[in-house]
Amino acid sequence: MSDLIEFVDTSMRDGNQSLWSGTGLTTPDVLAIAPTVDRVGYHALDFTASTHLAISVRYHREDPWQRIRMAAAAMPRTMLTFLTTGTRFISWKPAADDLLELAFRTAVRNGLRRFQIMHPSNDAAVLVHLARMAKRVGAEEVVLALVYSVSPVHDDAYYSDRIAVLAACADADRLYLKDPGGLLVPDRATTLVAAMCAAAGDRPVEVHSHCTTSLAPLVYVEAVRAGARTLHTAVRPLGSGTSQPSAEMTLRNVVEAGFRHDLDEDALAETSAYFADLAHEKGLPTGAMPEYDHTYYRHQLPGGMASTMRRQLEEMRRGDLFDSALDEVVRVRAEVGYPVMVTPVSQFVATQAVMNVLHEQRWATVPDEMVRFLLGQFGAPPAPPDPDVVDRVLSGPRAEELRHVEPLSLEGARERLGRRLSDEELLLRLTMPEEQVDAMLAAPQPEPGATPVARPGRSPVVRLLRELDKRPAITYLRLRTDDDLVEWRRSEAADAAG
Amino acid sequence: MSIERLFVANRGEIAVRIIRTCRELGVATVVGVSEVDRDSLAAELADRAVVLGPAHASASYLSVPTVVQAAIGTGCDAIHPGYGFLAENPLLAQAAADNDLRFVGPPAAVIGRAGDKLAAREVAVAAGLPVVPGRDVQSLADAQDFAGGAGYPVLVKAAAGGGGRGIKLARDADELSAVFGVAQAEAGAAFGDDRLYVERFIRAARHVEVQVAADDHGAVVHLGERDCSTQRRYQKVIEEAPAPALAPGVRDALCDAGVAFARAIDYRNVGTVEFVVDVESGSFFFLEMNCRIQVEHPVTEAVCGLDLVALQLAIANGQPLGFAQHDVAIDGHAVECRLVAEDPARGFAPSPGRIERFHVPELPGLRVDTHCRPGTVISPYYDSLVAKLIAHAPDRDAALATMSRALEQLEATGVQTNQSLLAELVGHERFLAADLTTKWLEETLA
Repeated sequence: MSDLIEFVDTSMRDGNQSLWSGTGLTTPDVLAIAPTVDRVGYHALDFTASTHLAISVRYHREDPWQRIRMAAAAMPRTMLTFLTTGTRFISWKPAADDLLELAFRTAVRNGLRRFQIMHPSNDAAVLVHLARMAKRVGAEEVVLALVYSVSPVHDDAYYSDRIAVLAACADADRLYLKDPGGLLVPDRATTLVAAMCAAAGDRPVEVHSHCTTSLAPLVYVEAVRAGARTLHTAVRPLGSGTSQPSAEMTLRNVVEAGFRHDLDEDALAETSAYFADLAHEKGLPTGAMPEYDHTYYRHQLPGGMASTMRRQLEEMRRGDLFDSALDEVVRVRAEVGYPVMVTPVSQFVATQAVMNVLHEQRWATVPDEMVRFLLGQFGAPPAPPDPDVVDRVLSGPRAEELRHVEPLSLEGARERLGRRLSDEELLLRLTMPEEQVDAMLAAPQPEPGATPVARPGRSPVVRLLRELDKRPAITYLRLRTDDDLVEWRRSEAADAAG
Repeated sequence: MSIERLFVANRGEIAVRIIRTCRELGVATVVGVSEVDRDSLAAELADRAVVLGPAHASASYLSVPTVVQAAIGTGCDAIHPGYGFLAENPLLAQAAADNDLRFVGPPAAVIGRAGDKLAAREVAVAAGLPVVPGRDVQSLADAQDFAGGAGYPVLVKAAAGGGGRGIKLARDADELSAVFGVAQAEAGAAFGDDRLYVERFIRAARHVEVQVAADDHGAVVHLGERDCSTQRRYQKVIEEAPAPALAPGVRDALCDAGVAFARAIDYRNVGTVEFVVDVESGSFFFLEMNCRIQVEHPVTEAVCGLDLVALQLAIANGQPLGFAQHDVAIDGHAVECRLVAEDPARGFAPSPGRIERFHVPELPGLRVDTHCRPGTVISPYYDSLVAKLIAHAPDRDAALATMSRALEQLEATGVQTNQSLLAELVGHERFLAADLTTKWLEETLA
């Protein structure tokens, strides 16, 4: 087996999503650094997902397809990946096959060459079906996910059954172990990766974890020892925290463990410096390694959600209920079939837990999203839900109203929305509020040549002067380093004007 | 001493075009490229390529100090700016001069004067060229007074503005009084200066330009004119030489006016004097001068039998033109189509990406200037020009027939292009009849 380790860079998708809520990057931000990223030599970029397409429209009023086209042309050597989840596209409503296939085809046509396909409940039949679809529309590389979670149902037999089905899928070019909650511990990574490698044969196995518990960097070292040959990392400013391990540290770690890589470290350093600058210019946080929190393995609530829950309870003057609400999270998760605790299901579970502790009776108040979850509209959970809970929730009138959800499909869509619409616009109009799509289309689109917020390779002196300019309180600076002397004085005219 | 090593401060097809002539002349070339253009055809053809900086032009192709430093550092003795980017930035011409590098173009002072619209207009008026009637106005009454004399319709625009922002059309005195206040408020808000400029609006106009060449020894000639009326949003799409359907006498008058302007502004090297021709009256007005090689220069090369880049280098070397006006003969007709990676079906959205198949037909009289081949990536950072197709034949009909065949046989896949639109336009009855105005393309597309 080769000792070469490849990398998938997640900075622009999962790094941005984990640390900057997915809203941190605009098209000009991506284009400002894209050619340098292209030189690093990544196997692929984790570039976008349907959530990101929606954020681009809603938050930045930027055409998400245009971003994909521009970025693909700016990074011709590197495959851009589309991460797709189950049978959904943008909307929470399930998408029918015709719509999903159009979305896949449009993604490929605009420049997304690689598909990572995951299903929160590891529904192997759905994964195999979607892999076929992705290949049919021309995806160059299809990677199927095995989503990791911790619960009584997520045992060895559970995983080995699913690994066997995924490995048997002829359309899967690779498999990846996806750990959205950052729950993997080194021992578990070793056994699961070894089992996946054995089943996958010649096909490479990738690992994608999060630093939520701070164990991911060590998990990566054990994963390559167990046979994984591709790791998902982010550049340092967009790594750690609840994001992936940093590429910089991971490179050192795998080399120390006796493996090699062929990334261009100069280009990587330039990319990292750019994202650090960008974070600084936009006032966005950069990733720091979290402390290990052992209670996380019990409730599995993503870091931000636990603190939000505490704050909300305190605002209702019921802060005393926080510990019982955390316990309730564990109970609710078991009752609804041990779903993987990632967005949006983790929110459903947490909200239900808070409702349950606030009311005298558990399951007295049930938000629509939880009703829909129990109706199976977000896919089947890994284990059957508690029949008593299901009876209680689904016997109500609200469940009856919510029961009939037509999947989004292309049937009649063109007649309704316009025959001359491009596929790109049709897909957005079918899955997003009309006013958001209209506002995006009416907004001026960014010029690729426009001056970026942060400029790669800006000289330190220029940066220093820019920072001084922002601080009117500083009127004089004298800086000596070795033989260089910089002396700066704010002019009196500027003082008077300021 | 003549130029021995030329720094090409540009990219794309024009960089390739310049390098090809240099190879024929035995001049060594160094091309400055951005990070994304490392593998470009220009980088491959030049004797040497140096990376100027990141993809964004502001940090690479538009950075005067970087370009000059790269030219000096690679031992070049001259800079060719091509078109666009720094071609008409007097700072590059000046920086080149300050560093003992020859600049293949006019001196900085000439570029500065030609680039200042008001100054250029004054030069034109002094040289006896007609200019579009217009002036600064102080008040509505003043504007109405002007329009009464020059005739409606008129355009009202910010005196301090540019780029077409806030321009308003008034067809009569009532409309003028309706738009004047709004225009004034907008000018104040946009430019911090509410002075307005009113000029006569030419309803049906043609864009005709005169190619001139001037050496350091006082010789100024014209190389005929070109019609560039087929435009979309001020971007030229099809150009031809000579300009078709010009009223008798207008052609000579235009060309003489071009030479007169070049002489008046003390022009050096090759340049283009642009005019707007009023289709209804046949009268023409000076627009501006472009102090560079134009994108559409090949149509002039075709009908004149000259290599304009070689001519540029000779002039930059201080050589005399070597021919007089009466030596310039126009042979036949040439037309150029600009193939761009834009999708006409999606509002001409840029369609960057990798070109898969790229095949240009070999036809008698067809020339193709391009930086593309199979696998070339049309970058999202710069203009989307893929190729210029130039057809030359004894007359206009034959040239258009060659162009039609070329567009039919051309293969460019992987990116969306305007190929089929070009084919449609070249065969359009208005184009065939030379019934052209600067609005005809937009009217046809609407």
